[in-house]
Amino acid sequence: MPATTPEIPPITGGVALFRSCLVSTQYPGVEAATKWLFEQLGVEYVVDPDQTCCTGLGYYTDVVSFPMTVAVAARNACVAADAGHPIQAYLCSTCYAINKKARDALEVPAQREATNRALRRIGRTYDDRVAGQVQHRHVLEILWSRRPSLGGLVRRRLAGVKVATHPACHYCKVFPNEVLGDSENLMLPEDLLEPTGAEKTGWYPEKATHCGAGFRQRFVNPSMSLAVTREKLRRLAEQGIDVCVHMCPNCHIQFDRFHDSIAEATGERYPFVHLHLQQLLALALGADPDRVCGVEAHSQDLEPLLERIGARPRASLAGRAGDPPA
Amino acid sequence: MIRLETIADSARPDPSTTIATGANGHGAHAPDESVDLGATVRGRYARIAESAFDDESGAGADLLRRILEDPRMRDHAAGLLSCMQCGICTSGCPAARFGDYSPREISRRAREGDASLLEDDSVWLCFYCYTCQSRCPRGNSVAVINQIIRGLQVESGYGRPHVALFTAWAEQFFQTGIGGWPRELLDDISDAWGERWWSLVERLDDLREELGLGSLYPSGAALGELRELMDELSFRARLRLPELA
Repeated sequence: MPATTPEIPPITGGVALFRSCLVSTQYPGVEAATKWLFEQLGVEYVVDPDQTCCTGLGYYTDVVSFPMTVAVAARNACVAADAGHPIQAYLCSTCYAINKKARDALEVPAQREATNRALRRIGRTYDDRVAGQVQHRHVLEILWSRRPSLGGLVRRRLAGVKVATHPACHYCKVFPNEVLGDSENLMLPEDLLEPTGAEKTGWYPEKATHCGAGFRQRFVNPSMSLAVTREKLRRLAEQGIDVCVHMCPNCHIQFDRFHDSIAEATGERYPFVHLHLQQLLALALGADPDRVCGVEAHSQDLEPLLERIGARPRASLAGRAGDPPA
Repeated sequence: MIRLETIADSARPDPSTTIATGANGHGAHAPDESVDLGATVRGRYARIAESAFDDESGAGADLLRRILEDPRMRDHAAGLLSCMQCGICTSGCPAARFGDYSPREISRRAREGDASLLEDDSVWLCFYCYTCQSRCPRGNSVAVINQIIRGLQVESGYGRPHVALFTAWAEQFFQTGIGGWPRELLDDISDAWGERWWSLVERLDDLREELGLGSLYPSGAALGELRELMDELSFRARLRLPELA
């Protein structure tokens, strides 16, 4: 299956890796694997302690007002521009989309004026200079822009490992015209894995159906929320995949943390695991599963996959080494 | 009331742009390629948009106007006004499939300025997945309309029970400058997340250190600025969170 994701020139000019609250607190290995990949690919970047959380979870659980979200986004954009790292690179699709939403709202003169009235109190201004400099990029787009370098860096081939994409809604559906590729059939994650020899799935029924998290719904309406997750797991299982790759930590939580309990409750089998794209790509490039990918944070048991791709010694074979020949 | 005659007028063929048709319905003459049919259609939507504000009875126009003038609707206002009730929003909606909710109905009621939306609980079933928006052939966004309506419900007080659980998020954000799902929310569901989840909770700081990651929290200076913005924009007051000394 040839790559269909559009080619783009290398994204350069100072990357600010935007910290995500869910990556930081649930899957810190996703941030570490991203940094490790940036270093392998020569992407110059900073992680800025003056950046605050995007407010996404608060906005989408309706406890943060939109003007507050816009003010926080405008402040973070000012921080990135002032630090000379104006390319905000997002680990989380909700960070990505909400910062773009704020970008668009700040093009409405009355909104920009109101936001700047609030920012005046902290001595900052979101003006045309900031708006012109700051770019909003998903981390996968940065990696894709360096794709030609990936091939030579593969240390563990993923031949025979079948992968499918769970396309993150807030990457694909909030700004469908800005997606790298087809918003209904995103191939960016699988195309990034092409140099590793992993087998792609491409489109599958319900590919665009979302994870079921739905911000408040996971907590307030768990039956509705998990019915969506179950439907997606069944459809993925039909494809005979080994790994479902993710590009948003909230989706990743919904699948990795609930996968085994949904299987147990329904008696259905979903024989595959969930990894962030950056974790699987880093593993293929030779990264350490613990010290770079932080696999212990996952709820699923990743050891069989890690053994299979050569990221762990084969415990099952090692155990048998001393056995007398049959 | 929307003045129907305005729409009827705009729907009446304009002789200057009508393509002449023969008795069999096919063009009797070669069509005039210079005619921009798109302009006629766009003009019609603009007139529908104008007529939306002709409601002199008040309440309906008021809600519709609030929605249309919200900066979040910048790219969706014309889409709401030209919603044709095709239902593609509902066909792809996970809450319509697995819950008692219809984005198509929300769109219709919003278009009519139906003020009962301000005391409607179904808007709280939306997942905010934006499937409706991404597929709408008119560029409408029920996901965004729901965000606006929920916000109005929170501010009026009606919606406060729906967000009570999530004020724990707001408090954590206020205290630390980062979000994440607070423990108060996870306690109820973490049994389903298994043993390994609890060991992560205990090991998070050590794990972050082993991964070479910096502090979980933004700098003190950043938090200070954030608190100033929160004060300026009534972050706590909006949620009726207790004032802090």
